[in-house]
Amino acid sequence: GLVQSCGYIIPESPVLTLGSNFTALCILNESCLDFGNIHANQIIWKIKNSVVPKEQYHVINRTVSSVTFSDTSTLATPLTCNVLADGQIEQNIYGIAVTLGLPPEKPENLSCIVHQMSKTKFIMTCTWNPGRDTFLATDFRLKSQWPLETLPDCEPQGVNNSCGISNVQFFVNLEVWVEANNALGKAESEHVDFDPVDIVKPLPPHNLAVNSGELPTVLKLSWENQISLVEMELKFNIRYRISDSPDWMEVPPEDTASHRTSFTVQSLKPYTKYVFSLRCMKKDGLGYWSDWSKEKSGVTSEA
Amino acid sequence: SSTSSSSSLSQQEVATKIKQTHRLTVLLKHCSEQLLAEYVRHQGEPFSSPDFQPPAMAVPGLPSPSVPPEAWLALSDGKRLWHLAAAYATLPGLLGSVRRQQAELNPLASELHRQLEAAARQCLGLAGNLEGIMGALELPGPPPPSSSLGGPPTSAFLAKLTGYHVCRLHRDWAMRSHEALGLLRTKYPL
Repeated sequence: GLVQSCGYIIPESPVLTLGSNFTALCILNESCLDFGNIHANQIIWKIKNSVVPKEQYHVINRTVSSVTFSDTSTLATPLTCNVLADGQIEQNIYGIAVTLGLPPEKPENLSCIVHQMSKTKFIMTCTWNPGRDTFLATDFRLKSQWPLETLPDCEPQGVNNSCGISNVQFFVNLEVWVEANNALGKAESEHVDFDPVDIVKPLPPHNLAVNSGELPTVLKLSWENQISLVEMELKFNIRYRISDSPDWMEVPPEDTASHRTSFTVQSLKPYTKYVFSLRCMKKDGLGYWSDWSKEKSGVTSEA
Repeated sequence: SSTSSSSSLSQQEVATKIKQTHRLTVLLKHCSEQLLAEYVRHQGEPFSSPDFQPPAMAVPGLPSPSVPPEAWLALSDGKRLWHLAAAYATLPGLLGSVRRQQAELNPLASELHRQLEAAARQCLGLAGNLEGIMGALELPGPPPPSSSLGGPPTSAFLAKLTGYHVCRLHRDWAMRSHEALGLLRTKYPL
C-alpha cells in the first residue's frame, strides 16, 4: 500500500484468560530500521495512551522487543508498539486489540419439563445454570440423542440458560446435555436420561360441569381431560369452597387417584352454592401437577 | 458412558424397556388409525368414498404384514421382533417421503403434515426401542433400512395411492407391533 508499516505485533488479536500472564512481541521491519536508524530498544509499549513500565520490556534483538504482563487484568485495548527515534516525535508502529474473558464453566442443574400446549402439541423446556459470566461470546447448545439416533441441537434464543424442543416423543428414552463453547474453551454438563412422558405438566381439565344429584348433600362434577389416554392415565386433586368463603376444602387425594372424567362430591350442605376447581397429573406421580382448572360453581338441591 | 450397552441390561431394565415400548405401540396404533383417516380425508375422490378399498399394493422396501394372524402368533418372539424391526427400519423414511409429497399435493393440510411428521418420529423411536430390546435379549438385529419411495411418481393419483398404501401398512404394522409387544410384556412382567 501507500504506507508501508514499519513492524507488527504478535499475537495479532489475542483472546486472553483474565488473570493469566501474556507476552507480546513487536517486530520491526528491516527496511524501516535503515531508513530511521531505529533500534528495538527505542520501542515504547502503551496500553491505550499510558506507557507500560519499562521493567516489563525485554529487547530480544535489534528488531524485536517483547512486553510481558503477569496478570492480564491490567491489560486493555489497544496495546500499541511505538518508537521514539533520536530528535524525532514518537511514532506508532502497530497496535492490537486485546479481548479478555474466561472459559465457560460446566453448566449445572440441568432439568427439563414437558409443557402441554394443546391437545397434540408439547414443548420440552430444559433449563440450566450457565455458570459465571465469561465476558466473551459464549455459545450454549442443548444436545439430545436417542439410544441410536442423534437429534438436532437446540439453540437457545436470546438467553443462555434454557431451550425449548418441540418434537417431543413419548415412550422413547432421551438423553440430554448442555455444551458451552467460547474462544477460551468448552464445557459440558452432566447427561440426563429420561422418558419425556415422565416429566409432563399437562393442561388442566376443562369444560368442567357441576350438576346437583338426587341427594341434597352431593354435587356431581364432570370434565374433559386435555391429554389423551394413550399418552397417560391421570390422577386428580379436586378442591371446593362455599362460594362466599375464601377457604378451600380438598377431596382426599386417595379418592381421586385413578383416571376418570367425573366425580361425585359428598357431605355438602343442602341448598348451598359451591365453587369447584381441579388439577391433574400423571397417575404414577411422575411429572408435574397441571395448573388448577377454571372454577365452576353449582348449588346443592334443597333438603 | 452416556449410552449403556443394551446387552448389559438387567431383567428389570429389559421388562421396563418392553413396557415402555408396549406403551409406544399403544400410542402408535391410536395415531396410525387417525393418520389413515386424516390422509384419506385430504385426497379427494375416489379415496374419500366409503367403499374405496383398493387391493393391497406392495411398497418398495417395506415388507407387508403378510404372515397370517395365527402363523404370526406361532412365531417365536425373536422372529416377530425381527419382522417388526425390519418394517420400522423402513417406515420412517417412507412416511417422510409421503409427507414431502403431501406438502406439494396438499400444501394447506397442516394437520396431515403434522401427523405424518409425528408418525415418522414415532416409528424412528420404535425402531430404536426394538433394537434395544433385541440387543438385550441377544436376538439378531434387523436388516439395514431402505430409504424412501424411489423415483418421483408418474402422476398425482399414483403418488396419492402410494401414500395411501404406506399409511395403511403403517396402521397394519402398528396393530401387529401392539399385539407382539403385548405378548412380550406378559412374558417379561415388571
